[in-house]
Amino acid sequence: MISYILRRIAGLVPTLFVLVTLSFFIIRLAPGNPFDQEQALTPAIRANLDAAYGLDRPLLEQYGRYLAGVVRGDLGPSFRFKDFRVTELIASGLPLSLTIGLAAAALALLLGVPLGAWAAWRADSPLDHALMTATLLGVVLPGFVLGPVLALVFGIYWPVFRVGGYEPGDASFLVLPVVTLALPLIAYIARLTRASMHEVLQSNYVRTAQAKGLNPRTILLRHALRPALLPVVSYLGPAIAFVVTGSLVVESVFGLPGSGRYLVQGAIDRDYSLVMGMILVYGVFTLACNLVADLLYAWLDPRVRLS
Amino acid sequence: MMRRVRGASVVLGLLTVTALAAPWLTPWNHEQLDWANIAVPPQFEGAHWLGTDRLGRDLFARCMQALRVSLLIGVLAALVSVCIGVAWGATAGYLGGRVDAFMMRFVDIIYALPYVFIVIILATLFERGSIAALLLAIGAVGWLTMARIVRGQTLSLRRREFIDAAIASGVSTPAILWRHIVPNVAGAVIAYATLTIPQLILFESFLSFLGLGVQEPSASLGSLINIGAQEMETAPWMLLVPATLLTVLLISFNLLGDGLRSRLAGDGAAVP
Amino acid sequence: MSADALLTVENLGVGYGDQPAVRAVSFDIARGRCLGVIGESGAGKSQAFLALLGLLPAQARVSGSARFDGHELLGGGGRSLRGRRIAMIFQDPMTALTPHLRVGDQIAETLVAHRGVTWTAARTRAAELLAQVRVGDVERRLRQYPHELSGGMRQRVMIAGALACDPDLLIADEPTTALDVSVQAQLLALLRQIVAERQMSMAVVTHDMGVIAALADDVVVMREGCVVERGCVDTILSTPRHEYTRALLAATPRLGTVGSLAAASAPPAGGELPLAAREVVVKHRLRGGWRPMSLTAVDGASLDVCAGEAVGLVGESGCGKSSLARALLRLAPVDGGRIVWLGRDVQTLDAGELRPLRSGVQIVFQDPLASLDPAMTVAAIVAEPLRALRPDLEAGARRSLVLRALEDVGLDAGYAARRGRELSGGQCQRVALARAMIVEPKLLVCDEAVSALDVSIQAQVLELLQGFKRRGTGIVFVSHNLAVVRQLCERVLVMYLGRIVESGTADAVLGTPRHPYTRLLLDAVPRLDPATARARLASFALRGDPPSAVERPTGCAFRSRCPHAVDACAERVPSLDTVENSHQVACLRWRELPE
Repeated sequence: MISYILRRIAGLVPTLFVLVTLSFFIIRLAPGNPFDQEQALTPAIRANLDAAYGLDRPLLEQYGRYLAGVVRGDLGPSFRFKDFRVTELIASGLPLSLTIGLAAAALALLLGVPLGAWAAWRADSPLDHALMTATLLGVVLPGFVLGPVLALVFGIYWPVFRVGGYEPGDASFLVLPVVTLALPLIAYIARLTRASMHEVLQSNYVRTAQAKGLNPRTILLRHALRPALLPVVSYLGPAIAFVVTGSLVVESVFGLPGSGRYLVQGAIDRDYSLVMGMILVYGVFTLACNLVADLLYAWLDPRVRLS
Repeated sequence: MMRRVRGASVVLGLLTVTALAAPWLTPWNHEQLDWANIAVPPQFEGAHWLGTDRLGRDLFARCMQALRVSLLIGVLAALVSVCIGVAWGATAGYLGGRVDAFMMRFVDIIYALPYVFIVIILATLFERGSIAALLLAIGAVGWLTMARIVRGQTLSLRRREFIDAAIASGVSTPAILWRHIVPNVAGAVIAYATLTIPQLILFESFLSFLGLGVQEPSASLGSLINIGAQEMETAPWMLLVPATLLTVLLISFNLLGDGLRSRLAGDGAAVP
Repeated sequence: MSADALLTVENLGVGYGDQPAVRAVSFDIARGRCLGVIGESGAGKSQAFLALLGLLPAQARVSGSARFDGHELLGGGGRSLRGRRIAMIFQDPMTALTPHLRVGDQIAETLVAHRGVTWTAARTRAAELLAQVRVGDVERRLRQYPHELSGGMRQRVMIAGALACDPDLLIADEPTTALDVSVQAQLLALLRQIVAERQMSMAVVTHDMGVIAALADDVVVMREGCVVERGCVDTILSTPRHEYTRALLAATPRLGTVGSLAAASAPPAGGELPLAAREVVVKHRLRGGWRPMSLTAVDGASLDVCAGEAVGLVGESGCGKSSLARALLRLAPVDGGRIVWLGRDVQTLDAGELRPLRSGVQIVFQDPLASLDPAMTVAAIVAEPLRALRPDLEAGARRSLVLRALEDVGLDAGYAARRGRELSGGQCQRVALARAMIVEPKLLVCDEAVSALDVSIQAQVLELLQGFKRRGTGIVFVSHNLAVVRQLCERVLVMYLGRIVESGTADAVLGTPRHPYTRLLLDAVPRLDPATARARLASFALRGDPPSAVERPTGCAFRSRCPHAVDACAERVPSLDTVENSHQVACLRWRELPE
C-alpha cells in the first residue's frame, strides 16, 4: 500500500510539469503585457521595468528561471502588487479560502450521503420524490445566484448573519459563504448516492444478505453502503474542482479576502506570475485531493487494491 | 418522466421564441437609456415590463438579449464539444491499447484541473468579451466529459459480438465505426449534449459574472446577475429577474437531458 | 398432502401488474427429501421460491399460502425464518457475495445475527463450515475476498454460509449453472452428501435434467408459471406423462445417443477444406495501457476440417477453445504457428486480400442478442455481409437473397423489418445463422452457439446446423457440452489450458477416451438415469477448478488435477501420440492406464 501511495505521488510530478509548462507558454504568448495599462510609460522606463522583471530575456530563459524558482518554492514577484512576492500574496489569502472550501466539502459529504441513502432506502416514497425535486433545484442553482439571494435574505431582510467583508475570528461572516458553496454539492452528492444506493440495493449480494435474515440496518450499513459510496468517491476530484471554482464566486459575492480574487484579477491585469502562482497552488491542491480520493476508492473496493 | 420532458421542451420553446421576438415585444432595446425611469421596479408605465437599471435601461430588453447570447453560446459550444468529444472518444475506444491509454491520459490530466483555469488562461488569450473566443474556450473544455462517455460506450460496444460479426463479414474499420458504433452511441451523445448545454450556459454566465465574459453594453445573464447583486438592497428585481430566468433555463435543459438520457442512452450511462 | 410435509405450498401466485409470473402453483416438500423444480426460462420457478422468503421486488403481488412447519410464509412470515430455518443459495456466486467483505465474515455474520454468538466464535465456526464444504487451506480462505476465489470456491462459500444455522430447508436456485462441468459435478456431489448427512430438506431449481437426476427425490415440472407434471424422479425421467416433460427429455442431449445428428458411418464426401491451422499460438493482452501483460490462451494447437464435417472443440472455460476458433477468422491475434486459408497465411493478408477468407469462413456467437446490432433491422443485419463482400449486387437481388437466407433458418419475411430486441433468443440465433450462411461459406465456426438457449430451442438450432452440414458446409463447433458435441460432431478435439490433449473421431474420443482428462470430463456429464447419475457423482475423481493460464503448471498442464500424475509429468510436456488411426492423445502414461 505504501509503495502504491509513493508511486501515485511520483505520478503527480509529470502532471504538474505539464500544467506549469502549458500555462506558462499560453499566458506568455497571449497578446498584452502587464504594463500596458499603466499610463504613458516612456520607452526608457518601460525598458527598465522589462529588465527588472526579466521580460527582456528570451522566453525559454524566463521559463527556465521560473521553473528553478518553483523548485525553490519562490513564485516570483507580482507585476501589479509591486512590493509583494506572489508567495506572500497567496499565503495571505489561502488559509481563509481553504477553510471555506474544506468546510463546504465536509458539510456536503456529511449531509449529501445520508440524504441520498435515505431517499434510496425509501425509493418512490413521497420523501424520495420531494428530496429529488429539491436536489434538482440545488444542482442547477449557480453559486452566483444563490450567494446574492442568501445574502439578501439572511443578511439584509432578516439579518441573522453578517455579510460583506470579514473580521478575522468572527465565524458568523463565514456561515453564508460556506452554505452557498455547499448547497449545490449537497444536492449533487445526494443524487449521486441515491442513484448508486438504489442500484446496490437491487444487487444479488444484497438479496443474499436478505436471504440470510440479516436486519435491514445491517444490510444497509455493512453490505450496501461501501459499494454505494464508490461513485461519490470518484466524484470527489471534480467536487474539489467545483469548490475551487465556486470559491472564486463566493469570495467575490461576500467580499472575503481569500486568494480566489488574485486569480481573476491576475488574469484581467495580465499579472503573469500571480496567475501562474495561483494555478500552481490550486493545481497541487486539486491533484492532492484527487490522490486522496483514489486512495479512498482503493480502501472501499478491495478489487482495485492490488492492481 | 415524459410529462417532465414535454414540460421542459415547452418552456424552452417559449423562452427561445420570446428571446427572438423580443424586439417586437417591447419598444426598448438593450442599449437605450430612459432618463425618466431610472431604476424603477416592473411597471406598465413606460413599458418597462421588468423594470429598469441604474442607467434607465429596460431590463426586459436586456434580459432577452442576454438570453439570446446564452442560448447561442450554450448550443454552439455544445456542438464544438460534441464534435471533438465524439471523434476523440470513439477513436480511443475503438483502437484501444496504447493509443487509448495515451489519449485518455491526456483527458485525465486536463480533467484533474479545475477547468476554470483553462478557460481563464484561454480568455486572457483573446480580446476580452469576444464571443468567438468564449465559444472556443468553453467548447474546448466541455468535450472532456463527452470524450469519456463516448469512449466508455465504444469500449462496451467493441466487446459486443455484433462488432466481431461485422469484422468477420468483411466490413471495413471506417464502415464499422460509421454503421455500428456511431448509431449506437448517438442516443447517449444526444442526451449528454442536452445536459452539456446548461453547464456551458452556466459557465458562460460564471465568466461574465467574474467580468471575463460578455462586455458592456452587451449583457449576458451572468453579468446581469453580477450587476443585480450589487444593487440588491435597493433594487432586488435587478437580481431576481435574471436569476430566475437563468434558473428556469437550466432546470429545463436538465430535465430534458435527463429524460432523453433515460430514453436513449440505456444502461452503462447511469450518471446522475 | 402428506403428513410429514415440511413445506406445503398451495395456490401460490406471483404477478407483476397484470402479468402473471406464477399461477396457482401447489407442491410440498417432505422432511429429509429433495424436491427438484425444472422448467425453461420464464417458467416462474425461481419467482415461486423467492416469493416464499419475501425476496421479490416490492411491486410483485403474491397470493396463496405456504405453510412451513406450522408457520405461514407468505405475507411477510417468511422473513423471520430466513437464514435461520430456511437458507437459500443463488446461481451466480460472483455477484451473490458482497465484494468488499471477507468471505469468512460473510459466513460468520449469519451466526452473529441469529445465534447471538461473538464474532470470534462465529469465525471459528465459519472455519469448520468451510472445511465441511471441502475447502482446503481454510485459515487463508477466510481472510480472502470473493474476487480472489474461483467460481466453484465461491459457490462453496455460499453453501457454507447457508448451512451456518443448520436450516431445515435449503433452497438452491440454479446452484451449478454458472460453473464448468467438472466443478458442477463436484458441487452436486457435495450438495448430495450434505443433505444426506444432515437429513435436511432441499429444493433445487434448475433448467437441467441432469441436475434433477443427480439430486432430486421428487420432481415438479413447470412451464409458463404452471405446474404441468409432478412425481417421483424415477417416474418423471423414465415414464413422463405430460407431453411437455417428454419433449423436454427428448430435447436434452445425452451421451448415449451416438451421433443422432452426426454422419456416424459414412466419411464426409467433400474432402478437406482449404483450411490448415498449424501449431497455433494465441496470446491475449491482459491489461491495456502502458505495460501490457499477456496470457497464452492457445499454445500450439492444430486443426483441419473436411467439407460436410463437424469438428467439436471441447474443454472447460479458459481452455482456449474460443480463442482458437476466433483465430481462424483472424478475430484473435495469432502469435505463433500458421493459419492457412486457400494457400495463404491469413495473418499476412491485407484488407483487400481478406475477401476470400471472409466469404469462405463465417461465425456464430454465444450471446444471441449481443450478436445483433440493436440499431439495425433483421434485413439490414443479414444483408451486411453481402454489402461488404458482393458490392456489385443490386438492391433487388440482395433483398431476395436475404429473404431466402431467412427462410432457410425458418423465419418468414415478416421478421425482416424487426429488430433484435423484439425477437426471442432462439430467433436471434437464427438471424445470426442467416447472416453467416448468406455468403455460402465453406466453413462455419459456432462459438458456443447453442449454449445460451433453452434445450428445446437448442435442439431446433442443432437441426439447422445438421442441414448445413448435409449441404457440404464444414463446421467447427466450440462447446463445453459434451453431450451436444456427441450429437452433432464427427470429430472431437479436447483442449486443456491451450493445448489439445486428445483428438480423433467422436466415437473414439468420447467412446474409448484415453486421456485422463477426457475420461473425467465424460464422468462429469450429467446422466439422466438417477441411479447412474448418483453412482458416478459418488466416485467422481476430478478435484479443484480448472487453473487459469496465468498459473499454468510445468510439464503436463493437467497434472495438478490428474489422479494418475507422477513426477515425470512435471518435467515434460507430452506431445500427441497416435493411439490408432486418427485417434491421438497427449499423455505420458496413456499406455499404462487401464482402457
